[in-house]
Amino acid sequence: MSSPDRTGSLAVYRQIFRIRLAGGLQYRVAALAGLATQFAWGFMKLLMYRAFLEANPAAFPMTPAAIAAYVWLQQGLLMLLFPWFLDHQIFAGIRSGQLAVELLRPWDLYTSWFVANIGRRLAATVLRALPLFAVAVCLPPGWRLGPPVSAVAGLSFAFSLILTLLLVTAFTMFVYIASLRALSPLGARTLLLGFSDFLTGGIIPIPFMSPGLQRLLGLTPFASMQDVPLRLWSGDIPLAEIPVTLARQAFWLVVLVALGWLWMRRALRAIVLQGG
Amino acid sequence: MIEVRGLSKEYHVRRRGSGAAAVWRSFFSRSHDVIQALDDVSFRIADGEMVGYIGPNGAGKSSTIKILSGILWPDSGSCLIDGRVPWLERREHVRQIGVVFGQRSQLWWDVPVGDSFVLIRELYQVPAADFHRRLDELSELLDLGELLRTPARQLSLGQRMRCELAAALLHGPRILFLDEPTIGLDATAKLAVRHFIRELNREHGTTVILTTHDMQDIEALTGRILLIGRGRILLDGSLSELKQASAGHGNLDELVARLYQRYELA
Repeated sequence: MSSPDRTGSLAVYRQIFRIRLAGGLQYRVAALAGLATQFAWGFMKLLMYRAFLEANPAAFPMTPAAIAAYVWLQQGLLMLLFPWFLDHQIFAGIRSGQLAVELLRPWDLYTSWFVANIGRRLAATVLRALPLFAVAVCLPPGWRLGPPVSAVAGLSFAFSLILTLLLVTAFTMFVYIASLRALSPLGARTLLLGFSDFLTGGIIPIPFMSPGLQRLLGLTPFASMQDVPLRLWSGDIPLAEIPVTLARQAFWLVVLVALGWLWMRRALRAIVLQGG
Repeated sequence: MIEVRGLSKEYHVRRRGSGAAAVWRSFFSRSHDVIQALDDVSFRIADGEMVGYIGPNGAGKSSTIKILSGILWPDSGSCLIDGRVPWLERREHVRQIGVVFGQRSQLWWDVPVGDSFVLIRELYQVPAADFHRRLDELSELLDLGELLRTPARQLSLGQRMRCELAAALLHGPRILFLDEPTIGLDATAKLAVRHFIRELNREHGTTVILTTHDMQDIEALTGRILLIGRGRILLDGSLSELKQASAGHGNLDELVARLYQRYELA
């Protein structure tokens, strides 16, 4: 049998992607329940920012329209943007030894997990984002999700959203690979994800943080995750800074994928497949 | 052609006593024992051979199969299968082999078996004509029929094992590794599985390496036996040589039990 050509191996990953997308779309009830949470959460956040704004408008680093867009886009795209949306099948497979079967397939395990995660994230997002946005655009001014400020903002948002999805997934790959080494990586996982939630701007947008912390974060991949697309939409990132911001995202993507791929190769050498 | 030379692998096993004091102690200083799973294992298997790989629990059978199938790295030693080192060229290697772990499933558990087969076809990029020819043949030999439309989770163990065998062979592998394929099966299912493996070997010349605790599997299937214990190959020969080595009477299970005793494995 000849070795597979390039399009052949792409077909493999397309297949993985399809399975996970189809699998994820089954969870309609979970999505509905999540939707209610995201609405409540979004309103709560907006109320909080309103209070800040009224207390001291001069110190408020974003426009009301920008913060509303930030909050609704974040709530709708939760499953694309946040590192904590992990694939528990992977952890279960490592613990039970089912990983052995995955390694018997003619695929690159890193790519296969990566693609499966993208599929899951997209499936979960499709179910939540559209209904949430449909309501969020109808809210009164100052509360609603407006259109992107310009065509450039809209396009760069879309482009940056894809980069963010890939970057966040590349980041979570480290969590999976870590669990190849330690059987119960719960401690490391909790710590890593808790910090990244804050550092990516998941709790408050990065512009609300102290200047020192902002500078520090600028040197890490965290500032290149959700912060970028969520602020591009409303023009909160100035036009002139868009190219360098996107380039920084791409740079971190390449770095994280390369490091993760190499680390996985090392981890698989030392792996102990559980069970007989 | 499978050529294994000087394969060794050790595992570190964490040990601690039970009780609060032991847990407290182990928090500060962990002790582990080194288990020599494989210790200088060498053998050679020609194309089209059927080999039974036997030994008591924990002897190193599964570790050998995992190394030969490319998913486990040995600490030292070499292994060449059709010119490839399995763990270094895992992706190319696994295209040429089929593996059935009796205790694990490679079917997607919540879709009909037929859908799993289609996925496997796409994963291995089996040409449509080859796929249908093999599927027809496998369906007939393994009597799959209705099973193809049943979700894997609703199959009985015997039905599932027949489907697992088919799943491992859809891409036409030259070598088939079977890790306890008859474990837990009833008499009818065992006979069906054995019959199928024999046919496969005869019709297609597939090399079969089989681990099992069921001596009837060995008797029915394999001309050659590799006996492994404490990570070492203790005997490499035919069934009659094994009988000679155990020097006694009784059924096969008794012979093997005596052999284990002789090598101080039990």
